[in-house]
Amino acid sequence: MDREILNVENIDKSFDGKEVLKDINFSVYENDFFFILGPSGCGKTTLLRIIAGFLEPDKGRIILNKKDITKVPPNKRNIGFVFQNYALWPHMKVIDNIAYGLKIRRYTEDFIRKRLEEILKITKLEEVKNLYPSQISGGQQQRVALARALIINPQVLLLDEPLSNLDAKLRDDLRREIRRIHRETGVTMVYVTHDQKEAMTLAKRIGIMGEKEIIQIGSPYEIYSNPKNLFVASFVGDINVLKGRIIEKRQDILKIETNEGFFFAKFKKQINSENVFLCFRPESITVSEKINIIKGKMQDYEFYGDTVKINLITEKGNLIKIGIYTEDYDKFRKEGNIVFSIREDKIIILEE
Amino acid sequence: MKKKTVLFVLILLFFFCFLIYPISFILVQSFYHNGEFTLEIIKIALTNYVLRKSIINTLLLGLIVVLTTTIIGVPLAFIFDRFTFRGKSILRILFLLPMIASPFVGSIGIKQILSRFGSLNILLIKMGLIETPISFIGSGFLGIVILQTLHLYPIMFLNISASLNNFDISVEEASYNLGANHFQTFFKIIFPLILPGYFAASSIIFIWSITDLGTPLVFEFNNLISVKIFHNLKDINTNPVGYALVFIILILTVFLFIFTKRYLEKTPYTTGKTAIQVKENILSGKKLIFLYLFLYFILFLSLIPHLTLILYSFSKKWFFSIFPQEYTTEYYKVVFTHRLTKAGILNSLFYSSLSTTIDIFLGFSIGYILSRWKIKGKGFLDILSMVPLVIPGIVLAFGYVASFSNTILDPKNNPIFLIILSYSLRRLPYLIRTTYSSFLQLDRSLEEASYSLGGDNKTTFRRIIFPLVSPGLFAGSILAFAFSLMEVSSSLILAVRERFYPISKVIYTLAGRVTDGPNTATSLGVIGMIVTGLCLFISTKIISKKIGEFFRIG
Repeated sequence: MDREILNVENIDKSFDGKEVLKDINFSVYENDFFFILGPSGCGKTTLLRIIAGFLEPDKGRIILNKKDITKVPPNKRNIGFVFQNYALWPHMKVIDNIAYGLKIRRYTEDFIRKRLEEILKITKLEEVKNLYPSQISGGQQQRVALARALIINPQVLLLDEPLSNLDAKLRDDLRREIRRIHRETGVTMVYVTHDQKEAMTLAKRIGIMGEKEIIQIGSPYEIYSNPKNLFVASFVGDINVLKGRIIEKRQDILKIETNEGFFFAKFKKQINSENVFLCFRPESITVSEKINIIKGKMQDYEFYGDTVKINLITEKGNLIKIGIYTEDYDKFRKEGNIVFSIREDKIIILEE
Repeated sequence: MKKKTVLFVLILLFFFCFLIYPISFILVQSFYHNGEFTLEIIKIALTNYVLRKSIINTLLLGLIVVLTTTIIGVPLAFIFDRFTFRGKSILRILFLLPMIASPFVGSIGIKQILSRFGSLNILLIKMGLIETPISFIGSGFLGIVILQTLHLYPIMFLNISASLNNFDISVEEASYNLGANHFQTFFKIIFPLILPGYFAASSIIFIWSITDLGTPLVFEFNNLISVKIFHNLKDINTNPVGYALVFIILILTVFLFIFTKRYLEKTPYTTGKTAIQVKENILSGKKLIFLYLFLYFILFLSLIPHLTLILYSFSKKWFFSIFPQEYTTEYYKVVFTHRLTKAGILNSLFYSSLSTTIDIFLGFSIGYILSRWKIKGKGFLDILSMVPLVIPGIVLAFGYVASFSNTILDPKNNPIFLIILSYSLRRLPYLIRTTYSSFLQLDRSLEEASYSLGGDNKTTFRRIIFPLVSPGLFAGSILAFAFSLMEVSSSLILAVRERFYPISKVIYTLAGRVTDGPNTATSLGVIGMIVTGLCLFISTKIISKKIGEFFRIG
């Protein structure tokens, strides 16, 4: 693993007696692209503002490069921040907005010019550099905000929902831009968002945040395939949930009873309670085999071209969503029903 | 279409007769003497020792008041923007209170405090700090500065508050984040961002200050342009100096107004807003006490004129003492029985109701025309309707006296018509602007929805448009009414005969009488203050935060 560059340790924070953050812990590595993903209002922006130094935590420490910076004012931290509303200064041209951090640091004009050129090139802003923020598009404003934060060579770059003010098409473009910029500059990024698609497609690692707390940290794949609880499971992607009871355990095979019958699951993690949730992703299925069979009537479907997602209702009244390749559709149809098997190695067992 | 044209032409005609004509008359008279074009009059105004002194005094007054209101208003705006403390919302309203009494009325109270044998001197003598009374008011200049400052700082406060409100706190944080300290952030980010608002407030304050007539009259300070104009009215037909002075003040205000407007158009600084939790600036301990001390001190200072006024109105005897020796409510009875005050109240109510009615009608029509009609000459109407903003009351009133003398409308015979018109013209731009912006905010589709459901023009107007626009109009007209009720300069100039006196002129006349006149005057002033305060309160309730727009340019 790379060198740790930022450590967030035991952070607590309350506003007017209302707890917003509780015992937050995580580390960010050099060249990391770390996401904090959580629903709106879970305290993730507050967390970011504490790291940047705009807020002081009630408890806990922020360590940057092995130095405790919890009490260091924001202007002495050298942490970049991209604001949700960009916070561009309307009275300065693009170029002056971007150069601000270097001018404050009193670099030579030569150096500033060179660095500006570099950054303008990376962020593709050469053509608008002499315009005012009000004269450029939303996407360009976003890039100016990025450039302004990047130019000071921050140890860590914090991004607070940077794409939330843009429309869908632009968001896709800029997502790619941000990835490219991360690759080209190698800057360590901590990115806050409520958009799971953003997090899943960009992140090296994700911290899933529920109310006040970080619930799980891992790579997108780990989180998707091995969520810690129902909240995480349903926050990243679709998931089907059946209530069940473990009735038998043989090596790593579990036999689980649900109201859809018995299911067998290969699940390595330690399960302590008997009552569990049997979960599976829509795509974790195959054409029906001997075991783990579910049968239902198609209610409706979403057609994506190569794949199709089908919503079924079983005889017992459970709603199930499956995703299959369009070309396989006929294989799942039997006498007016949809029939399939859940893959035993893909079942996720969560404790109640 | 034909009806529309008629209405449009009538409105234009109205502006022409009662705005363009009188102003042009002044301009012409300033340059034509005995039928010849000449710059002589302007030259006299600029070179004559007394007149030049008046001009310099006037400019000095304006600049000093801008400075003093800055010293009070700017810190106040920052405090209210940055800190959370108990009683904040009530204090915010209290700080706007000084605006409700015209400085002219307040000055009667202040005179009682600051005069040679006034409360302050008596207090200082009794405390043994001085032996002979100090002349605080001196020539009266200082008194004017104090009164105008205490009256006008809320404008600074409102404008700076609005500017601070215009940008998000993240704009500042971005600066800290990039390594700037407080000092750098203030001068590179905050200062440039509030500069437009500061500039706008300063020019309004400057214009109000230099065109104020009532306050200098009460303090008997004669070396100001406004007072000189007032005194020149008597021989308006023989002495052209009045015209020249009016011309100078007109040029000053117009120039300042246009300059400000241009500047503001070039610098439309606003940023997006986010609902982030800002660093908690809930103060406590020493800092809080310090803050309260500062706030209450300013508040106390700014309410002195009003408090003294109230004290005065209840006093029976108040000579050579800090507080009145005896109290009475008698003068409040006098207000409603005395021939002059009774007439004044009735006159003012009459004038103000009529002028407000005209304002409502014109404001609504013009607001509607500007936002909805496609008609030739609309741009012209747009400009015309904003002209009264630039024309000080004293200039308009002077123009009326000058251009309508010896006609049926001669104010020396019967000023009712011209008083009403001057009242309504002064406030018209505010009403037009309120309705205009209501119309702009009114989504076209709301009307179209009504049409699509079968509503005709009339129904749509009555059921959809009017109810949606009327709150702003209502709030605006209440304010217009309140301001008209206590209007000073036109009232002083246009009402020549006693039976036409509106409240302000009655107060001015009574305050000048030696016996119990001032007591009655202050009682009337207090009543006026209460009514104005109520009106302001009601319209604030209706349009809440937008109230500041009535005291802004742009």
